Amino acid sequence: MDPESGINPHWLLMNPVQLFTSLFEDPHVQVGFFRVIQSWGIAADEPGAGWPALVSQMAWTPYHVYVMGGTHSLTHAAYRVIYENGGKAFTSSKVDKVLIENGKAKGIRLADGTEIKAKVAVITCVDPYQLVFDLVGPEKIDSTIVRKVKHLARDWININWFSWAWTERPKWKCEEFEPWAKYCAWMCFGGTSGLDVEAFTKESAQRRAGIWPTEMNLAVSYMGVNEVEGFDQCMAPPEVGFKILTEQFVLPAFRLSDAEWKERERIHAEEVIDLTNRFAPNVNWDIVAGYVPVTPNFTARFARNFAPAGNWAVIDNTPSQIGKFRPIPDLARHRIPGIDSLYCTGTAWHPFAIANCAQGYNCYKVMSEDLGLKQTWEGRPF
Amino acid sequence: MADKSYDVVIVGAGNKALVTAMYLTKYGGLSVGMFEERHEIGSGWSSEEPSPGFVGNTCSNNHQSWYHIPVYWDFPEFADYGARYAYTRGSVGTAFDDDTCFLQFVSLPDVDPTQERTAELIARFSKKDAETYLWLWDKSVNYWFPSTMEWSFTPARPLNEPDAMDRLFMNPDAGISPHWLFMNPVQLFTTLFEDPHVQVGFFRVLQSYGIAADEPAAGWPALLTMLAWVPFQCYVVGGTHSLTHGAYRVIYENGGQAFTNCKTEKILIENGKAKGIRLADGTEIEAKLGVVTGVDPYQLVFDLVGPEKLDSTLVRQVKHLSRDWISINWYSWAFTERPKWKCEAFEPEAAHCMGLTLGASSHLDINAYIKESAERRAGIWPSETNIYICYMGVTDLDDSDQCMGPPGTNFKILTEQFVLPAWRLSDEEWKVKEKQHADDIVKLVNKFAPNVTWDTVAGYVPVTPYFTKRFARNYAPAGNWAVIDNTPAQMGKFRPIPDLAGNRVPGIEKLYCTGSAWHPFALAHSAQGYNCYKAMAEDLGLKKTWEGRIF
Repeated sequence: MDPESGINPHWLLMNPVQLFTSLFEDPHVQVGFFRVIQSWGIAADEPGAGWPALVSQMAWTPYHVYVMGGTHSLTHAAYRVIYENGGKAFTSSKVDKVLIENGKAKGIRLADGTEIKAKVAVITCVDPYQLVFDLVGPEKIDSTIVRKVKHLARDWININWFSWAWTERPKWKCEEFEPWAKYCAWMCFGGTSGLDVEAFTKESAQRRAGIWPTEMNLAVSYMGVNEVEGFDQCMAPPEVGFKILTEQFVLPAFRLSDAEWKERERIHAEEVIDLTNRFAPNVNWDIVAGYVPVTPNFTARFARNFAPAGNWAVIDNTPSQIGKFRPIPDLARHRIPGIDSLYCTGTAWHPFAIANCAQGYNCYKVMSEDLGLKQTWEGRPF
Repeated sequence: MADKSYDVVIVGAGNKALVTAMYLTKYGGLSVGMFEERHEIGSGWSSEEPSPGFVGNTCSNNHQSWYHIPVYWDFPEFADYGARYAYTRGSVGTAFDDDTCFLQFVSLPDVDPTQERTAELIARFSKKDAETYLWLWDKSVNYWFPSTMEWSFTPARPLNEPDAMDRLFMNPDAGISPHWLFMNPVQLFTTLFEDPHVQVGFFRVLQSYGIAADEPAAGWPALLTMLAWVPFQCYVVGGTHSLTHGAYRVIYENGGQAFTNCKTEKILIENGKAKGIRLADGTEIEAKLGVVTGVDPYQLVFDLVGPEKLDSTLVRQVKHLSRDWISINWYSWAFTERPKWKCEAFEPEAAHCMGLTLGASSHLDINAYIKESAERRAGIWPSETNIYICYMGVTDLDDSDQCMGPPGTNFKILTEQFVLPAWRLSDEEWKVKEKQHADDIVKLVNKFAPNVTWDTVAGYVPVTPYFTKRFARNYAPAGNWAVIDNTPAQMGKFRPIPDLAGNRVPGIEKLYCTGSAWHPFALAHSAQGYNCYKAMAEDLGLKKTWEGRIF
């Protein structure tokens, strides 16, 4: 609504291809920004996805970092805070039901029958399906909410995400054009490299129709030339200098059988090496010390939140499932209409799926309102 | 030295251009010359005789009673000259695999003006859905429909100025959830309705308006279609070309002229001002006051004006318009007897339904549409037929003269299936598909109306996207009857692109543009032609017939 912000109302309805071809004239620039947008789960051909794409270009990419010591360092630090302040976590403890009496959450029952009482509140961090269909039960919730949760879009963000141990770093041909290419944390090539933004529309169409992308469109992530010296992120077999991550958007887990995924795993690894070799000729199977294939079939089993597609965003980052609509308007504010003392958060919540703290922080904000807890944000904008 | 001279010269005599010309001649008092590349004027307002004794509406058949509201106000003679509508009781319905059916009755005076009959039928599936429908209808009658009319028949305003549709969204009494504006049609309809018959029953006809099941933000146009289009459905008495005849008679009486088989090559521009046109044969026509185009935005930018004369961002936006989606197989059939639907046992009024859908629609699974969209986007011929059958009900022959079929045939049926853009298949492949599709249709209809077999077929005329793209260049290269897609970024003040939506061309004076690719959306209505006159009247000081009216 702020005319100073320069946002054209047309942008809000455009798909990313329309928006980027509108903004930029050169195909290198149109396409160059594009592949990483996929990594945020944004579809090239979706109306209304242009604006999130532009935000990811300007407010995500220029702030790109990685966690020192590996992403789990965040978990360690967070749990240490919790533990120091008297909290406890129990693993291998599946929850069967949220116990509800007179419209109020009173605790939970574990799969082994143990009941745990919650004096003040129960919080769920699972996906909206488990919340509605397993933990609470659809009979206790308004039928429109149940129907909306049932129809959430959650098949889109499925990736082949392979970790590789290489004995040397890829030496990109394009370093001749721009030496800083070797310091790039997220190098994209394949379908992207044809300078045709419509390649993304084609790939989206294939994936929607259940067709394996006919062309690789890869993002390769590593920490640059000084990876080993500078950081401790790399933990790989001896003599291995570089840990590389490759990302390719593929099909939802349920589209292929287990046997087909096994076969795909192998083919994909070969395709990654072939393709990378074209852009960095020193990369071939001789420099590969090993790889760990993560496919959507793996992801779907990693945690139930990601099932059944193996969707790392739990539900899609489609325009009607972003912000105050995520996962659905009735649940976006971390409360469940009709059930007191029950709160919900997770990746499927406002504002969008990414490994940020917003959903967890917002859940506390809502609870502190209801329960009169300390409001740390007083005097701050958020 | 020009060979001929008019106040206003119009490139193309399609139906939007005809409406503009009606106003320019009668209310502008101007001399108008129209130059049409085809052998006939009217473009989509056409009825043709592709084989002897067999007339079909090759582009446009089902209209809404509001299509020409201000035109009838300003031209009472338009109806006298043949631009008249008739309707059947049932507007649109779906026949299901379980032999039930869903029908929406027309809201026109003697049928179901309050939509309570429609709601009664919905209540047979779900009382709650019937209540929802009546709530929606109430909102539509009081808020959505009036705003949509004002929005449609008013030229696109500058982007940051709220138009009638923006004001509707902001009005809390209108009952529009902001979430709807981002939803795709499947999400919206499964949110609103609980019973699968009702979710799916409304759905197939949305396709006919070019709305994709899986497109975010297409939910709201889909809902408007259900409430502001379908209940007003009718057809042109005597065939769709009657509108062209009516319009041209008005133009002719007021001194305008149209020339067919006259391809325009260039708009003549001097010092940033449109001065006339040059035809393909070299003839130059002078335009004393202005040039109007009724062609698609590509021809306008790349052929008629030339990209070098326009802002490069505008040129790039036009180049990237989406225009591959609305490609249909549209077959006219002569049947010796009307289809006797199995679902008439459930609801006899199915016999009077103008548009019945069956096929993938019949399975009670709304996700069938997602699958069909996905296939079409990937260039795969839909694995399941999903047709809309249009006929004028049991009284087809008595009520209207629309049906002109071979001797011994009583019923003219139109079938519509969304398929692939013309350029996806070769000439040879289209020939094969043409025949296959006819077989698919007869087989499918037979499942729902067992009396229909090849024995009741006296003949059929296949119109495929391949045919459509050759019918007029505006529809090329996909054979897209909407010229450009009705996708959310190409509707209203964004259509075709914001810089052109207001019917003017930035940087070139005295040049005006209209057509199906313009604000508000593609259909055979008069809004684009009317709005173009409004823009011209402002610039040229012509009579404003809308003074004292909302639009």
